[in-house]
Amino acid sequence: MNSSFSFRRFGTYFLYDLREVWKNNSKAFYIFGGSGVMLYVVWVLFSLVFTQTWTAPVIWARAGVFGLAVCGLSLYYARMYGFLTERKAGSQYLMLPASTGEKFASMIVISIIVVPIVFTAIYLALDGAITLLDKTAGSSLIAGIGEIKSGFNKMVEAEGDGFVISFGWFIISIVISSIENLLYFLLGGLIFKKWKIAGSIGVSLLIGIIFGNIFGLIVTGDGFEYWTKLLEADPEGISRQILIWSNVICGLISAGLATGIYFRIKTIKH
Amino acid sequence: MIKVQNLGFSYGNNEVLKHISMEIREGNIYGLLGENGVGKTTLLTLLCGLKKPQSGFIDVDGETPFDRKPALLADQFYLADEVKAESATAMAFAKANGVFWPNFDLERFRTILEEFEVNPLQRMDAMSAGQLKKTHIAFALACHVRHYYMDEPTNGLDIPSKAQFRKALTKYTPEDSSIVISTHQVRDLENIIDPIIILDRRDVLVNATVEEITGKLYFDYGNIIHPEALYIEQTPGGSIQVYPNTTGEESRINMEAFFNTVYKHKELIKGMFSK
Repeated sequence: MNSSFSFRRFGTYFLYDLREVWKNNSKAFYIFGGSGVMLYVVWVLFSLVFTQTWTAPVIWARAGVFGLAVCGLSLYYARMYGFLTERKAGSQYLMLPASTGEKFASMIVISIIVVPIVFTAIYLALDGAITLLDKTAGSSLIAGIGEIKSGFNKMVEAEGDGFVISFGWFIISIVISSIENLLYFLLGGLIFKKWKIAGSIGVSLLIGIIFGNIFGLIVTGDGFEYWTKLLEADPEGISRQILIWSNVICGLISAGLATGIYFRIKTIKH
Repeated sequence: MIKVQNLGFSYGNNEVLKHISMEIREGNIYGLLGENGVGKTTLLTLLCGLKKPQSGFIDVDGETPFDRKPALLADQFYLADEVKAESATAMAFAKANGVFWPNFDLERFRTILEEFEVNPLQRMDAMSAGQLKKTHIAFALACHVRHYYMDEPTNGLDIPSKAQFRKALTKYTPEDSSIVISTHQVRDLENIIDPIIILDRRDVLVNATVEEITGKLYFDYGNIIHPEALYIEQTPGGSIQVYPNTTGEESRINMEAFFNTVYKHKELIKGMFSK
């Protein structure tokens, strides 16, 4: 029996894990995925009460709630595999005959690929259904991507000579930083036994304060002027470089978080 | 075979196990006895790989349990004292989990559940504590592995279920399997556990077969008081006395009396059974 990784065993384990994740978290996925519908209902009710008109939420509001739902889902990740720190469920998980590598790979595939796709599909499908049934809602998020893009570009242009970012790069950065967030809260859930979400947020704030101060020391005074001049000289080029580096750093942090998750699964004790 | 060598484990400053050495051989049902807090559950979780030894080592068929390699995991089963109530029927749980144990037999699972009088189609989160325990016991036995570690398996079982458990354990485990059962309820398993391991704080007081025990100690159920008795317990019909077996005469072991004798004369008994 292969002790580190067997594709056959991984397949069996992945299907098992997928069923378990769905069984234990489907309600949460429906709530996050259905947050657009909740926005729609609240929006319409408020417009009926206060303006006596039937008004559906505009595309920007629906896109904003999608962003909030992504944030909510990220926080929820601290609970998704959080059972590993519980004695009963955690022991059962660890004693299941699959290698750490297989358990880790399944957790990553489900968390980074399957759940985000399912969540996005539910959200967009419901958004599409709303716009199909209620013409006052305008175009759906998929059909209105051009509208969002042009709105985004106008916002960037309004900033003048500052940070320039293309819509494509913006989306890539959002995806990479979302993966980093998901992995961060996933790891938080595997480390904290109680207060998984609060503990993860607390540590995140602490890291933010530390790195914020370090960054502040670098870009203040002469350093700040240096960066401002550079940005003014070639806004597009420098912005792209900053984005590339920030994405690379995000990628490295994600790899570090994934490594942390692997070793947490490998060394967790009950 | 399971070899434990100089095993040590602490919870912070609380040293639970120290220099524990023993061998666990196939084909036996070991009874792991000891007072509360002596480290029975800790030892079981170390044996199955849920914990990592802080000193010494454990070798199970040439593997280190804490590596949690699939081959070893597929050949062992740890039945915890408190088991999880899955949000699924017993049958669905067994089908989903059984695929990971190569020798798992769903039909055997169903048969054992029937013997335990548990409906396989009942949801586990709607079961009583006893039914839930029986479902997990049935699953463990249906996995047909070589190493079983059972922590207080009769806790929560009613009197008929305890008898069913004893019957199932001897009927459905492979001949060459090694079973380690930690229990406070020695009477529940008196007739099936052999050898007996008695743990004291940080130490193994006894690791001996029933034959070895009765070869060295005599269990007297008569009314004549023996002054040399190491332990005397009054019973409604007379008494149980335990004293050194100097004649080699055979007697029937009383597990509780033996346990109390060991705890009353720790050093003497330890010296008597040290090999």
